[in-house]
Amino acid sequence: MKLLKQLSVIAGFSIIGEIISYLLKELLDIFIPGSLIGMIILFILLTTKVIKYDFVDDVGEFFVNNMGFFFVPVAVSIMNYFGILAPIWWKLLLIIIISFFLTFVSVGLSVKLTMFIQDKLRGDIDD
Amino acid sequence: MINIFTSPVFYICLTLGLYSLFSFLRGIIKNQLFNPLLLTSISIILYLLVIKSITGYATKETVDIYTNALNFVNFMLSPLTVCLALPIYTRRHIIKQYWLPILVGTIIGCAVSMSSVFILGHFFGLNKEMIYSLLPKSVTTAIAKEISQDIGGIPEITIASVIVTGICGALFGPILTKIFKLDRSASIGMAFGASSHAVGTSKAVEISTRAGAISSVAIVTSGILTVIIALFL
Repeated sequence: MKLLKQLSVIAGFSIIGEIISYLLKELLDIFIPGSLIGMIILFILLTTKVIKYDFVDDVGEFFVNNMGFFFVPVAVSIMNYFGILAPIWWKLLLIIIISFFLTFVSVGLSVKLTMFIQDKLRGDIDD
Repeated sequence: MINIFTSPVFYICLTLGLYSLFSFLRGIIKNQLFNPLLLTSISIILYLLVIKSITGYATKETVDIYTNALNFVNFMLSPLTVCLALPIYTRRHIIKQYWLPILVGTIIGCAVSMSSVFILGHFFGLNKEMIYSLLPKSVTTAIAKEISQDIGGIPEITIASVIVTGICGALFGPILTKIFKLDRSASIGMAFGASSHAVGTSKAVEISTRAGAISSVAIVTSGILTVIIALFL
């Protein structure tokens, strides 16, 4: 019963997000996924204590912890693209690896620099 | 007889069973390379290849029977993304304390990740559809799939690239952390979270709890910013 209630709250936010997403698309012609809008609204309502955390915690944490399961069918469908991927898969792999290196290092170093400057300005160091 | 082994109930049972088994083993092995989504998908692909050779169906037909059986999970994808509000809500004090490093890391991460894919994609002569499929590779699966569909990529290839990126994070992240002397929780957490989403985060948690918490926030902030950048594509 509790789980069904929580599921309906979460699904409700997803619907509200979809409606706002539809309106944004129709009225302003910008596309933001409804699920993302639902997420932001839920975050705001949790932070402002309009919605209590225990209204969504069990089902929500279950979804967050087992997210991978829901993507098995999409991942398996890659079989349909084996033909297209056969000649170029190594290019994709190389791009992913190089891009990962660049992203990881640039984020790590820029945040390190940010922290360094912040410490200088504040004059104290907290981890 | 073969009908039983290609029935929806069998496929649902097989997927749930394999995923539970691999999640259980993952708990024992404690290695990020032991990824339940990857291993379940590979096992099912192998199973479907066997089914294909027995029944003589085309690949598309075989895959369609499977995805139709698992259709119910598609209804859950949107509520799933909504639930990403929870990890950032429980870490709101982290956001308050580290808002500047998070902001800087998110912007640099999205900019470098997307522009490098774009440039390298052109360099290797990939078509637009392939480049768009790889663009959201650094963000979490749920958001990456939405972005890919919206900008005209192939969601299946996007999911595969997201998984491979996660594996890169677990494989190379710790070495890069040492080479570039990332010693602060914020720089470690942001680097893992912004470059390799949830898989990287589980590696960051091992280095320090705080790095893990910052990394979890980075997953969501990178997802949001990538969606915003994708608006202009």
